[in-house]
Amino acid sequence: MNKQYDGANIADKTDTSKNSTETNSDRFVDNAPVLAGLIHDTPIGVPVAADGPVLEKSVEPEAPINEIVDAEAVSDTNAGSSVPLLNHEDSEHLRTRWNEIQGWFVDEPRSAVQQADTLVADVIDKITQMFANERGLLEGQWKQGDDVSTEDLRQALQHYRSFFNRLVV
Amino acid sequence: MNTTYILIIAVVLILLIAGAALGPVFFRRKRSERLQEKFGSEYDHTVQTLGDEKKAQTELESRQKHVASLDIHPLSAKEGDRYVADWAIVQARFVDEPGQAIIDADRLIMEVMLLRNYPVSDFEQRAADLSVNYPELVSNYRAARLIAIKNEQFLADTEELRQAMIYYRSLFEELLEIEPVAA
Repeated sequence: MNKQYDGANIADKTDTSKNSTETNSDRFVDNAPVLAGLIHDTPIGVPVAADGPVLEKSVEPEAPINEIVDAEAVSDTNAGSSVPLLNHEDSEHLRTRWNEIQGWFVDEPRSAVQQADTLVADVIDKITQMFANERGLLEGQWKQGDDVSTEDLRQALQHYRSFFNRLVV
Repeated sequence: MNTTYILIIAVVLILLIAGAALGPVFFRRKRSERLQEKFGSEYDHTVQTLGDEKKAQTELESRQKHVASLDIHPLSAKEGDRYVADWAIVQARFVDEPGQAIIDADRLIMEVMLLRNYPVSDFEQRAADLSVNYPELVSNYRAARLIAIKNEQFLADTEELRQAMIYYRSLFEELLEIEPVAA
């Protein structure tokens, strides 16, 4: 099943977009089948050539698999890209923290910069943690062996796209 | 008996003469001590500026009279809150536009002075009026002013501007007092 879709090839392309290396390539080889149709036949060729994001919104309009990537998928993509990475509460909290630090600069410039450094590191950790969790869930959807239905894989891919779009804005 | 009286009268007379002679000296001493204590470094600054201690004392006393004649009142709690918030914005803005933050800080001080019924005229007059109620802070105000002038010519570096911000704030915080001014 996997081989006939030349999964490895697709994985490579997908990875280009993510700027990642072998680690992810393995991961994507398995679910490549569903990607195959999408990636080979969609205008993705253009962004790939430019080393740009592969799974952009441009997937929908000209994709021959339009009947599969239908309105639902479109809305999913849109939701995916518009949903902020952090929830409102976290964002508010972080923003308050940032404002405190910025206000503190006049009094303690060095300490303010140090705190800003810590805050940014915290945010990155938070996002990393968040995506690790989300990815764990996603993997659960398709990494259960070969008997995962194409429909499940399709949905998994949509989730990945939402995920991807939030990372690559 | 007679000689005793004469002696007593003589002693009293001597004391009176000595008192008359030394009185003004004591009084002047008192006056300068009082003003020095009240105005602190501003006292020295005024002496230096006017080049004469007596003139400086007259100047400082006339400042006191002038400010006493003004109806200086504290801000309302609402006004105070507003200016605390405004200051926080200006201070945070420093990170993006230090020069502009200095200008805004100076402007906030003038606004608060106006609200409190200080006559807002030229800088020296403002400083003179403030020196009566905030003698220990007027030197900060003057120091900030010097940096603000440099800033107008784009000659002040970021650290100087930051200092100016702190100088301004020291005065601003006192100006925001809600309690009646102890004049």
